[in-house]
Formats: sequence, structure tokens, C-alpha cells
Amino acid sequence: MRGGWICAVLLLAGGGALSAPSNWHDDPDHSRLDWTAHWRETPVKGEFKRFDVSARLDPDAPAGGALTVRVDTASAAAASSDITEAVRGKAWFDAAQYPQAVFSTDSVTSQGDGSLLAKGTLKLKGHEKNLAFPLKLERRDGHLILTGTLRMDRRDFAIGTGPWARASPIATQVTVDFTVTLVAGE
Amino acid sequence: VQLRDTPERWGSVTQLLHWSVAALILALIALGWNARLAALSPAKITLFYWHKSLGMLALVLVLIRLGWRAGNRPPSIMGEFSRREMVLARSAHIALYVLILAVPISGWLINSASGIPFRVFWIVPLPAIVPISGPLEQIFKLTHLATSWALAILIVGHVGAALRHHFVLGNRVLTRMLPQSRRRTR
Repeated sequence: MRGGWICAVLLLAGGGALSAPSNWHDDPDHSRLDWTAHWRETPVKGEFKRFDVSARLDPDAPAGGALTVRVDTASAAAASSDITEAVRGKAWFDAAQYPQAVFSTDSVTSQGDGSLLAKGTLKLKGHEKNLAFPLKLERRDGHLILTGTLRMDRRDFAIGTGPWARASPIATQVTVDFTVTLVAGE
Repeated sequence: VQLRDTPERWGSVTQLLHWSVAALILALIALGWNARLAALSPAKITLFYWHKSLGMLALVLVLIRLGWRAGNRPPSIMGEFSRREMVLARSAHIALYVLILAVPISGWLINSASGIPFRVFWIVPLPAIVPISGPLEQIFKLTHLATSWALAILIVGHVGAALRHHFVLGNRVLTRMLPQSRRRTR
């Protein structure tokens, strides 16, 4: 009978685990990772076609959770095939040499307005830099929708070398927008 | 200043449009040629930006020119010409107008099919007139190249004919497209 008690305690603990961190991963068909650069005043938009996001967090109390994003740099793409070819090349992402970029959080904290603040490290093109950006987490039909925008300086990662390194004509500030659908599971 | 065309000469509006388009075409050929040959760099894209912006300006000026021509009676034919010469001159002028329209429109088509974001003179976003497509882009590039060459050859013929009228035939076909000299009118 002792075994039965242990089972009951574990079941109760399991019930309590509804509000404990659990594992989540992205649904690639319903997730986007877009970038916007500027040629002078003209926005140039693109995306990363392949990336994966894994999270360990409690949807009821996401602060304290953790996120890891892996981006396949060879999947960087724009509407123009010329731009796509260029951004994958040596002067930009150098996908042949640095095929993967990784962002992992050091902390996820709650901001008063219901949004979260992610702080972490981005490893990209052999450079490492701390980044902090706000994000929002919503529950929808058992999924989690993670959205946010981060602004970064491409020079921190040597994205755009040689004649492209200057702030003109291609601005050094780049915006990354993401909408990620997270589903439960590893 | 005589703005409208008269039976004796082209008015100053026609002259301004004629010579500004002439200057633009020379600049466009130089810019286009150099942009095409340059290695990928900010300078190459800047050359293309100027080429495309001035090309769109030329298109607008040619459309104004056609509108103005429709509302004006062109100067009458001077001197005696054979029927063959008349037909040749008329066809050459029609071909010039067709090509002066076809070259910038094919350029616009290239830009549309390529998906490269572009703002005319860094201000006015140029709307796409065809969907983004690699095969279409190649077809329009060939069209742009072929029509540009045809236009360049016709311009050589046009200039040659104007010089022949002036120096060989001694008529006013060339001078009626030039500003009236003050000395002569006095």
C-alpha cells in the first residue's frame, strides 16, 4: 500500500506541475523571423527561412524561463535573388564559414506592462554580443505566440564588411521582427 | 520667347524637352554601362540608383513631350525630299519615340521582376508592374539591352541626318531645334 501513497503524491505533484516550466518548440509553418535593413531611406526586407526556437518556460509565469534560437544563416533571403545571394556571401552572413547563429537567454524578466524582457547572448559570424529586447507571450488554443522586435547594430557582428561597413549607404541599424508559434514538447 | 511650335521652328517647350531628354539619354547610357560592369559594391548600387531615377525622369519627360506634340502642330517640312526620304524620316522618328518609351519601361519591368526595392531619387517608391520572377527578369534584361542598343544606333542616325541637313543640304532642319540666336533676329 505504501507504493499507492507514493503514486498519489507523485500524481498530486504532477497536477502541480501544470504551473511549472515545461518544454516548447516552434512550429516552423507558423513562425517567422524577418529582418529589415535600409539602403538610405529605402527599406530592404528579408527573412530567415530556417530557424528553430526551443523554450523552457511556464506559460503562467514566463519570467524566469529560457529561450534558445538557432538560425541557419544560409537561409537568409530577400525578394530579390541578387540580394539573397549577396547577404549569404562573405561580406554579410558568410554562411559558408558561419552556418549558424545562436541566441540564448541569460534571463527573462517581467516588465510591468505585461511584456517580457529577454537578455541574452547572440553568437553570430564568430562574434558574441549581449542583447536585450522586449517580447510578448500570448496563449492561443494551447499554443504560445511569441512576438517581438529587436534593433541591432550590424557592425557588432561584422555583418557588411569592406565598403559596406560604413553607415552609408546601408544603415548600420537593422531591425529583426519575430512571430513564433510555440507548441508543447521538446 | 515662343513657347509653342510654329510652322517655322520648334517652340522653346519642345526644344527644352528635346535637349533635356538628349542629355539624359547620354547620361543614362554612361551610368547604365558603368553600373553593369562594376563589381558589387555600394558604388555599383548608387550608379544603378541614378540610372533608374534619371530613366524614370526621362520617361516622364517623353510622355510630356508626346502630350505637347499632340497639342501642337509641328513645323512644316522644309525643302524638297523624295518620297523615300520622307518615309525613312517618318519611320525613324516613330521608332525613336517607341524606343525612348520601350527602354525605360523595360527597365521598370526589370526592377519590378527583380524585387529590388527602389525609390525614384530616394523619395518616390516605384510600384512593381509585374510579379517577382527570375525568368521574367532575364527576359526584360535582354529587352532592355536590345532596345537600348537599337536606340543608340538610331540616335547616331538621327544626329547624322541632322548634320547632313545642316552642312550638306544647307537647310534649317537643325537650327529650328536650336534657340534662336539674338544676333540673327536683330
